[in-house]
Amino acid sequence: MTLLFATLLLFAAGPFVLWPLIRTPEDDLEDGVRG
Amino acid sequence: MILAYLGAGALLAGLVMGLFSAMLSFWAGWSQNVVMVQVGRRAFYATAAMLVIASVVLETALLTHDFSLAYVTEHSDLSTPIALVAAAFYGGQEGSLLYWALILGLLGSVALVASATLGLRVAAYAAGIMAAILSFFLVVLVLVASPFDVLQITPPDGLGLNPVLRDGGMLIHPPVILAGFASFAIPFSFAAAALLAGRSDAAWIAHTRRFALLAWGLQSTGLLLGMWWAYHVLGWGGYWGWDPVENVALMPWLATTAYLHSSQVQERRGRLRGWNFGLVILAFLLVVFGTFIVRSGIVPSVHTFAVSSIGPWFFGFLGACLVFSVGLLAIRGGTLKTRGEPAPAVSREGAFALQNLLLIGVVAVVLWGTILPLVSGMTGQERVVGAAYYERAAGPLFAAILVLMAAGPLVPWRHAGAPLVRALRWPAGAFALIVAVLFASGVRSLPALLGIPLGAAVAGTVLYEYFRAAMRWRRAGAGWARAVALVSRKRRRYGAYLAHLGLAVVVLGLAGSHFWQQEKDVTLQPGQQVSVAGYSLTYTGSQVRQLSDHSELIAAMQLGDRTLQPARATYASLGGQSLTHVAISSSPIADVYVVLAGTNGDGSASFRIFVNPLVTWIWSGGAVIILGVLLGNARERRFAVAPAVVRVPSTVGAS
Repeated sequence: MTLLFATLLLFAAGPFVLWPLIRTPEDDLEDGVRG
Repeated sequence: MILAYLGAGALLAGLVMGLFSAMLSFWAGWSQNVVMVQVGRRAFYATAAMLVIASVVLETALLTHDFSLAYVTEHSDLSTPIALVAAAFYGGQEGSLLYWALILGLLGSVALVASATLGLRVAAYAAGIMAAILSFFLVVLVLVASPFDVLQITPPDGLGLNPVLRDGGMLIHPPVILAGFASFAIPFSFAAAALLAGRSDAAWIAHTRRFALLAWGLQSTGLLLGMWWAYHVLGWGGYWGWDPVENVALMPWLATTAYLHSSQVQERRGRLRGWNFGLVILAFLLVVFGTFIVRSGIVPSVHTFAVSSIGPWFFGFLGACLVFSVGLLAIRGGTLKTRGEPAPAVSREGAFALQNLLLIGVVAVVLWGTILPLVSGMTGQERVVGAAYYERAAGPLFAAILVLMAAGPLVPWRHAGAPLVRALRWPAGAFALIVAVLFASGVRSLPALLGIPLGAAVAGTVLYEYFRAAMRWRRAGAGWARAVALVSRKRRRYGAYLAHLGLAVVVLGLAGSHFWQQEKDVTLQPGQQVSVAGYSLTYTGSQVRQLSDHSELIAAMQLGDRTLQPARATYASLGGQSLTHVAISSSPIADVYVVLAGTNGDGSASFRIFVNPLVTWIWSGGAVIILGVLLGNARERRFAVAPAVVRVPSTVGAS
């Protein structure tokens, strides 16, 4: 059960942590427009 | 039950994320990979988030009385007031480690967000070091001291919090002092990162100083609250016992006090670079050493807090930190040497250097006193030193520090000349005046004849500096706007002077309560009177009161028109453990401090009565110190909150 929760939490955090790797040039452009 | 698994899962996920952040940040910093530095940093934030989840889970388990968790059972029960149940979060070994890691995760995240000006490599290495420290705590929390261990059989009620901890002080002292301990890791991480990256310029000093100041402020507040709590709860009439637990909190505070002064020498004159690195590192090593000492139980202490099997883990961690730090300083030491002429001895930088040596001397004295039982135990005969050792060994050093506090602010940078001698007349005059007054009053104790006048001399210097500022203000045409502009321009200096003034008040309080404390043991029948140091107290009777989690035997003592109610609390659910509740009547001149020893069969009651002069000066002086630090630094320079690293186009999907 502990392992299950740990895995779920890691999956939940994954997109946030890996965002610099998975973002696209379009995302950068959007960020630039917003910023 | 499900809470336990969620909490343990969050800790495990935090450990994985922390290790990932540590390894990736070091590699990305070394290879200057901008994208991976960002990922490593985000992994650190995610680790902090996991710690937040684990903390919320533990707090929820405590507040819902989930006794399936061993930690909840061991540190709370149904009868404990709810605020204290919430405080049980950091009341035990496992919970306090989680709290420590949580603070490090949160403050570390803030420090990383604010680190944009330091350059890619320093920020990446700092993230790596903080993640490595956090990972160590998570290893301990996951493998050795988990707050989420589940009991085979869920009991109907818990064992409850230690009676000494069932006090309002529990809500303020432990969280502040633990936050102080945790925050020393941040300046350490940035200093070590700057060394690793080969950057010994002033940029790291500004960033590190800010967080060193935060750690110092938290530790100062924690120490003061601890003294206040001990004074009000323990019932021995004092506030500082040179206990190992107190000593290990004092040592990093002393080292950081030295750093906060010597960092100015680097900022103004570019000197003491290696020394400054050494002090920041020393403060953190003392924190780790202190944690090892306190939590392993290898040194006898009146604090029975949290003795467990985590000692060897902290010993290993201390060894690793020591090897890493000493190795780093040895490798980079050559690049930190100051070129050019040495500074003259009589100059501001010379005064700071001497003050630093004296503070480190006090650290050495306190360290030796703390580890002596350990060292002597290895040779077969365990020896423990008492307050007399610390007073004899550290007293002269503190006196010399006070001399420097009185003279130092008047000494100019680079060199001193005739104006210094003129300015010194102020503190010297204050010193001579107070010596004369004390001598005429019949005081013959040398420590008293030195300590109190030196405190007055420090105050004299500060008041002289404020007087000079007021004169400048008048010459500039007076007016509130000019006063604000004048103080704002030199906010740090005037804030520091206010802190010095606060310390002078604390010194007077310490000296007064130390040299002129009076104590009397008495047994009185109802209606009988006793006089201590001119204060007359009349015992009027006693009664027993039943409360939710304990019963109280309360005595009533009449002091003028005030009624003091010293009491003894007995906790039947904790095997009849009893605890004294001190009654204190405070005034700026003296505290009348009454401890109820017990009642007797013939209707009489036994008391220990102390009259402690000037104790309130310690608390009010401490508040002035913290106010001075806040005023001097609150808006010194805003955090450079900016995108953490330079944005680069992503390569994914670019084709």
